[in-house]
Amino acid sequence: MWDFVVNHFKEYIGTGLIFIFYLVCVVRMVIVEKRKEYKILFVYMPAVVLVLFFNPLTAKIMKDYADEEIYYRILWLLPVSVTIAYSVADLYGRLKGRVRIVAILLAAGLIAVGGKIVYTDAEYSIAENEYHMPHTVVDICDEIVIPGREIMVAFPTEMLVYVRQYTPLIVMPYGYEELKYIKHFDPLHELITEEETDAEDLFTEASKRGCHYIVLDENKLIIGSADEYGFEEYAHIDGYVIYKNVAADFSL
Amino acid sequence: MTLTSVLLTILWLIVVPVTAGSVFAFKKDGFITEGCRKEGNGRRQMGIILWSWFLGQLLLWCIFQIIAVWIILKKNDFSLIVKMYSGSTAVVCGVAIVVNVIRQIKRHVITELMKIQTGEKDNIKRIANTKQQDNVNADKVMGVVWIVFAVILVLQTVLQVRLAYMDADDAYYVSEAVSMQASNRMYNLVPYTGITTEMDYRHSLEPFPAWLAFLSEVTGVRVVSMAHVLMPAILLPFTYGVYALMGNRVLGKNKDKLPIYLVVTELLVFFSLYSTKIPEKFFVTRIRQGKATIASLIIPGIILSLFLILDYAKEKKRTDLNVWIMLFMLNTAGCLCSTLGALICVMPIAIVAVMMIFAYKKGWHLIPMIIGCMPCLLFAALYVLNR
Repeated sequence: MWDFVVNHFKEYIGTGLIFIFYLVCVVRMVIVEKRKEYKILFVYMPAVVLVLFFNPLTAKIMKDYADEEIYYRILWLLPVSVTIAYSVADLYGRLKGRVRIVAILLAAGLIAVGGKIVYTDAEYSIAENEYHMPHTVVDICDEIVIPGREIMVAFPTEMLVYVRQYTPLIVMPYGYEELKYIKHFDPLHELITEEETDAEDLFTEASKRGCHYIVLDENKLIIGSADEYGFEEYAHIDGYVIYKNVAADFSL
Repeated sequence: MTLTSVLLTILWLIVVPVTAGSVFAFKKDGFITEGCRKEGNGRRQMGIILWSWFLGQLLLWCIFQIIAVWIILKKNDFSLIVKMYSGSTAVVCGVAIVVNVIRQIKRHVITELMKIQTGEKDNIKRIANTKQQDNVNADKVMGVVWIVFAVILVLQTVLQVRLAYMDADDAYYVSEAVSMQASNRMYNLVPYTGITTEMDYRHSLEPFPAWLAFLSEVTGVRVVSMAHVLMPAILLPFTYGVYALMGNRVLGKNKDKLPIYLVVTELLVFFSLYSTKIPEKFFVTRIRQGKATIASLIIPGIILSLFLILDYAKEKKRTDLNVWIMLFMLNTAGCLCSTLGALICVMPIAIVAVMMIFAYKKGWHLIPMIIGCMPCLLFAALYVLNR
């Protein structure tokens, strides 16, 4: 249980430098601040939150009644930003002359050194459209969607997150949650993600799962012909090939 | 996304909340007008507008949570939420407008009476003195810092629109909103796949995606664009506005240092990649998700309301009723954002409530604090019962 708590704490503080800066601000508040309400809110309350966070009983309750992955969220109750921002502004008010300019520049420098620009996160990219999703997904969905009815389509892993954000008219035989969180084994997904797949296995499984279309990477090697198993090449879009189930019902 | 739909989004996310919240903010002897009294005209007006926006949005979220959970648990359609919430919003805004018109008329009559009693010269002198004082307080350095704050705010808002952030949790939250709007059913489809399933009680108690679907429905903007572009572009300055209200209060006599407070906050958000679990990163990357809203908006709001309660206790004054209402609304809005809200909102309130007993040797505040936490306790009970 202790390791569980400590791991959550380590993940929360990240590199730790900003958290140290925060602790310094709290200590400064203990020394400098005389007002009771400030001490209650910015010193004592966070101290109790930390005590509760490191208490194995709290961890056990959270594990039993909520999702254990979100235990670190108790630490959101630490007023880190408010305390640091208040301390810097307060320090500026107490100092005189150029020293105070140096003090705020130093604080800004500490934040820059201790942190990392959030926009350099690998998950950021230049928006390709007003939906903030890869345009390939939009193009593929627009190509196959039938207004007024749902269709079942199997997509490669990298598209699973986006498809149903874009359109509710596409239903999928497997979703992001099953693969990522539940670690559920899905035979069709397995066949789609393999570098080399037997056409009979792939298209028979897709047909069995009620797929109207399947979307595959163009570089994927398929041994055999789709036509023999009721599918035909429907379109090529941005490096992906769409196969259509000719026997499926497309009526409204 | 058309110009009309963008304007409708501004209407629903700015104009409507400001109108609804004005019922609290323009109360003459309330904590908001009292707190803003010593400030210059421009800043006072800005303060009142920000408070209106904040409290109005909280009020609307509070109403939405009550309507949505009731309708979802009754297994009614999403369209009923749209109708009932739109109607309630219209009523709230109508009441706010009427109340404020009456207040303005009353104030006008009182001012006229005062003019007759004291003579107009005094008033003119008073206005002149205020202006002079404003000029004296003007600080060049602070002016520069205000500009820095504005530049970073604009930059962050532009980046919010120009950069796409891939977050896998959107596969749940955004897709759920898309499904609701399209199928008119709620929480009985697996959002990841669209396949029908049993009622998801856990998530139905935190219907933040339903609010997203509602915004999409009334503005005509696709859910995905609302979630990734428009909503963050408005919630980002809104959240900084709440931080400004917080800074204005905690800085006390150092209120003129507010821009420093705000720039430091912006920098902490800007350089927040040192951890993936901190509220600052959630704020900038996924404010469209309820959990990020609770981290970046609701919890700071609770800290602010606790600060106000402590401030009243220190002054040995009776706490303004609006502070208690704000606490109640924050707790309800916290439950709208996340089921964890039920725990995470109550925790700091309970800690501070106990500390106040020791610090001020009085327990009078316990009753309104418990009432303020009632929504969380109620939704926590519903969660445990439906697990």
